[in-house]
Amino acid sequence: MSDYTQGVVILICVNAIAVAGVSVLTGFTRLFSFGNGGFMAIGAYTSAILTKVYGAPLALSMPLGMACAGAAAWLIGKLTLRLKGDYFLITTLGFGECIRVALEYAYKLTGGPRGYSNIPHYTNAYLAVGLLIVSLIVARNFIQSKYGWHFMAIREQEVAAEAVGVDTAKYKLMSFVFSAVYAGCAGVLFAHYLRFIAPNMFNLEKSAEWTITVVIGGLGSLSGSVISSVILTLLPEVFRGLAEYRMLVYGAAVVLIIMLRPNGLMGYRELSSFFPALFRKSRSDREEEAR
Amino acid sequence: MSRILGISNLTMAFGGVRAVQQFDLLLEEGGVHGLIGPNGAGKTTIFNVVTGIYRPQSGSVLFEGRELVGRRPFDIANAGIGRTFQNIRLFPNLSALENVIIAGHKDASYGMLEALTHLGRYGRVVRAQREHARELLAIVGLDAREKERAGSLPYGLQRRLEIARALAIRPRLLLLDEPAAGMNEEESVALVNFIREIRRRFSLTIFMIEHHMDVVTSLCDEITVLNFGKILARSSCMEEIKKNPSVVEAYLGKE
Repeated sequence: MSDYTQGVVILICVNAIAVAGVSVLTGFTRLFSFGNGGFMAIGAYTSAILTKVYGAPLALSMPLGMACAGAAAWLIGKLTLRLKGDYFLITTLGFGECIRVALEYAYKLTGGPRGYSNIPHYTNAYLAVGLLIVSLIVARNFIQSKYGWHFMAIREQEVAAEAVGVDTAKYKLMSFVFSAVYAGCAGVLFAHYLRFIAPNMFNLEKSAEWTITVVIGGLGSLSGSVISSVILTLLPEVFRGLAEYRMLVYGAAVVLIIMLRPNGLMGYRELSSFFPALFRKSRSDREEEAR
Repeated sequence: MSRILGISNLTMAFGGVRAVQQFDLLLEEGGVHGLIGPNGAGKTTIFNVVTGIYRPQSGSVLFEGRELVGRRPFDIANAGIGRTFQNIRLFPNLSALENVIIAGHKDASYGMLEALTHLGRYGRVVRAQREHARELLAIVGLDAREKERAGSLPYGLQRRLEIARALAIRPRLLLLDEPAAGMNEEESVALVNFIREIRRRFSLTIFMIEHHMDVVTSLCDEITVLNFGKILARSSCMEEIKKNPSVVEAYLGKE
């Protein structure tokens, strides 16, 4: 694999992992966050500093980076999740920017606005693809468990979710932390691929991009979100000259999708429901059919 | 028989509007209590206070001897109170079966690690939950349509699904908010039999709001009439209520 191909594959995996997290948050819990770029930054900086300054191995720095991102989301969520939809969105936007600015101010630790360089190079395409596969399987399992069902209950009808005994505050927080852990994981991969990170890489634009990706792919569809993130990462690579107009195209795409297919490309359906024959059935499904 | 629900001195105001004033009610275990009255009398407000959606200015709601005021709705539901809504609130994009499975989450005894890997108790528990949800769907007559999107079921079946979902939390007290709304006479008769059946089968206490007088008469063993947030009449005998001049004036109308 050429370096360039490796790079593109890694970028796709980084985006897809972060988008899988946003998909759980936005597609399944109907919470919008513009702060996930900040959580990616926390993952990236934590792992970069741990490996470079303290010589920690990736096997340790990655879980710690993810945990720090999750812990930050837990704190922010505790403070803000009582707010209704739009207000929550605004506060995540604010906190995301806060994290970025804090990284700029803590220049002794982070190198400030000029960035943090000479991060050990650990990420290759195999690691990235492997992690993407594991994180997708985990996300799918999570969604098809009581936790995921509670998220969907909140998305569908919050009052009714409470009326059947779902602690909506607790599960919103859980979904938010889950998406932050995924953003943190993407950040770790990203830092050890690029070997240089700067606070402005993790700005509002990044967070908005992931949310847009999930909306285009289809709310409530994990595979839809991932496919859309692959396409949206590849497009600027293919049309190099148009890369600058990426956000313009995203904006137009969202308007078109909302007008033509309000549920996104694959709203509420997974890939497996389009091509059932291609997907090996789970044991419980087979037992079901045997009856 | 013991007391399951005791509401005393309940007042609920929205700004200057007193939706419910000095309301009290005692429910015996196993009984069916009907709450009737004109639109805007405050009936649904009482349900919303009992289930924790509203916090009253004063008064107390005791369920099995424990105070409910100040507790969150999910907590009250888990304590054993199920409810349906006047304007149906299902999980519309999920299947009928999933609607019921979600409500049966108290049976889901597996941890986070098992949820993330689908190992351990996960498979067994989920199959058991699905079985239980299917039984409930069969009881409400929806077993053939478990895969359908809840939001696209016909209105009558949505009402039944909402009841199945409320039963999935294994309640001891069930609040039904206008279960017969929009039903014709034949359907209401079927509903009466159905409610009798689930009450017996799950040994439920039922507290219901209803406008169909025949449904109320045949099901309830006590009736409260509410008007402008105040109790207008209460009796275990429907005939007595029908003869009460203030009830006739406020609600039933002269024949």
